[in-house]
Amino acid sequence: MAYVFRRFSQMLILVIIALAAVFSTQRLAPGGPFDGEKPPPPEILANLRAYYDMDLGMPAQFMGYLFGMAARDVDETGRPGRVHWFSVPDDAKVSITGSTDVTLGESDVLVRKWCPWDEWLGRWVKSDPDRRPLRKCGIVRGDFGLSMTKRNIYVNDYVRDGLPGTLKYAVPSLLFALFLGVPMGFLAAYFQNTRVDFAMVSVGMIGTIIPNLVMGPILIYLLAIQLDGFFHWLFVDYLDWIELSRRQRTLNLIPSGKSGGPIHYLLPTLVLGTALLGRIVRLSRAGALEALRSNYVRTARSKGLPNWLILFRHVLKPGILPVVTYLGPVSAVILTGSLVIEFTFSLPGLGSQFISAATDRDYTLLMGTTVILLVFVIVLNFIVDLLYTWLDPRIRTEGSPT
Amino acid sequence: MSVLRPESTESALNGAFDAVKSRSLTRLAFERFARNKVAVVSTFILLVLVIMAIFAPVAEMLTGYAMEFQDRNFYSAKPPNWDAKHFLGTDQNGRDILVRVIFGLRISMIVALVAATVALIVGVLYGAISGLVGGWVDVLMMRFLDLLISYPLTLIAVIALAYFGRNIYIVFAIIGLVEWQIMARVVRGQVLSLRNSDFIEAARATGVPTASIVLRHIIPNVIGIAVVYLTLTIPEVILVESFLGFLGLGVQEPNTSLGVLISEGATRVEHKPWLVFSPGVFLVLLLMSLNFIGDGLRDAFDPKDR
Repeated sequence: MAYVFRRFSQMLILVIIALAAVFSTQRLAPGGPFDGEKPPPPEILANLRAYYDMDLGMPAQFMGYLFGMAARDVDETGRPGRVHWFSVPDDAKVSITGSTDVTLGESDVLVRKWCPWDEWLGRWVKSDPDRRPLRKCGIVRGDFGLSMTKRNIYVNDYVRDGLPGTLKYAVPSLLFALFLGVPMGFLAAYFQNTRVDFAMVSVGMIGTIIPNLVMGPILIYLLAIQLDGFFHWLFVDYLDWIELSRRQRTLNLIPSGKSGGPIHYLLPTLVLGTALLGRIVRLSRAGALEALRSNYVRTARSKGLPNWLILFRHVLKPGILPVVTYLGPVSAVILTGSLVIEFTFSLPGLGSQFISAATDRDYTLLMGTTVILLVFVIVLNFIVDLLYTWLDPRIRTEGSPT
Repeated sequence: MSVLRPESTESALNGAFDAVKSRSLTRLAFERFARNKVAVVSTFILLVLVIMAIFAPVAEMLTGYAMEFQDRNFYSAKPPNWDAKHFLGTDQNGRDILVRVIFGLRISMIVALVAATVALIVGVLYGAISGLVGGWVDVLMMRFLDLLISYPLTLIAVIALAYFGRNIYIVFAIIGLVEWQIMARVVRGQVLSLRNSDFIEAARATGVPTASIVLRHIIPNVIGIAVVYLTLTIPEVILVESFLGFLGLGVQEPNTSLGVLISEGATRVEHKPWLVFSPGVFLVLLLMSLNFIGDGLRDAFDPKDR
């Protein structure tokens, strides 16, 4: 438990350092979200900067981003001034609390009444509807703020709409790579230095040699176009089993929009899965080889246990240990692969938001997407760590000071 | 043994001993490498690719189309046409794909070489400092490395490129900074094993100053393994570069790279497959040959790994 806690705090520190790095570099870098082709007039620009707290110092901005701020005073010009961090004093001249009377440009800014997670948890809303809401809730309360370039859309909404599209192929492809790669690696180890071994390792290599940005188009061409064309010819023209127009596809392999059944998952899963397959085959092969050479397997064999029982009881666990260690770095591979898939299949997702936010200097959107993607990778790493300690008790004893 | 040796075969045996004596460790490694057929074939493929990249302007001369030239008769991506000398077709703007792919290959190679060198320098420095200084510095640096390895640095590279990517040198540096962790780890391991080795101990015992131990004994022994891992880092760097180019970051127009070319064709594979397959084949060949050469070199120089 102490180990879990320590790993967790390490992860937390890592996330905060990464966020601080991204936050400060993007604000120090040349260019800003508001200098487009037609920069807004100076007074509106000043309002905008004040609304996004860009008139404050960098540490205050970062604190506000993380933990939110209760309100900001209004100074004599009507612009936000002093920051009230946690609560609003009764005598404060506060303007931007629940709504805004500051002009922010063409579109008025929507200001969230309640912090998202508080609303979700049902706090405050039921108990005290008159309670003065926080102006900014901060990411600890689940508020990623407003987008800076499209100023009437919350980053939360982008994330909610984009994240499923980005990650829905991650789990199937990981399962595909594991359930195909581990048996392949074990087969290769069992038949070491034979044709089976060579075949398994070479099949695994295909994915590592062909990067997924080439694999996507290749698979689209081979499966979604050529194979589909063949099926079209076979079932529609030759056998005349089904009625289809020339433009319709027999298998709807290319994922697009919301239509279609589970067969949409095939191509993206293959593209992502083959990228992982090679390493998984190699690692499980190495792990199984080591286990097969060990004394306990020899003992088991000399006891006369059948081969399948030895494989399942004595080789499986040590064989998959190296694969489990690889699952941590896999999350980064899956992430980049998901971005590639998003672009190859023109899917709506977080990746395109991430890229456009970075190029448009949309600070809040970029921070929001980065937080989400980082947390995805880091949580996956955390789970892998726990899995590993559960599988390999040696780590647990090493980790504790006793 | 020498007692049993007959006079008549002595000269022949001497020759054999000479041959054995003349084979240094490096020589042995190269012989091991030469026996690895896949690696040798990959070396030839890589050589061909490198020559193509170096003499890229020759492609312009042979086809008669400059890299930037927009052929009015071949606008909006026409398939290969051998009569017009568009051997691999044209792209959206009527530019010849073969010429562009070769120039893209060139840029990809340059980026890969320079970025891999950046990775080499950073990794070697990090690993060497960590291994040489030791103590709590080592612990701290290695803990940091552990954290970094489970960390999507490519994402940070995307952000950094979007912000600073106008300058090609910054592109080099950013891509190089993504892929140095394995190098650092390997170098640290090598330095640690060298530090505990007998000949370093002997040098220290005879009073050789630390600086010259590092210069004369540690650096030459680390360089070999660093170069081997450099060849394994280059394909990784090429992959990162093409990924970033695919997302529309990194190399800017008028330059192009394989990843940029692939991204131009990736979504149009249904009607215009030649747009993506030509750069794709080159990228796969490049990655494949580099991977096999790297594996072959590692097996040759570091046979205990097999």
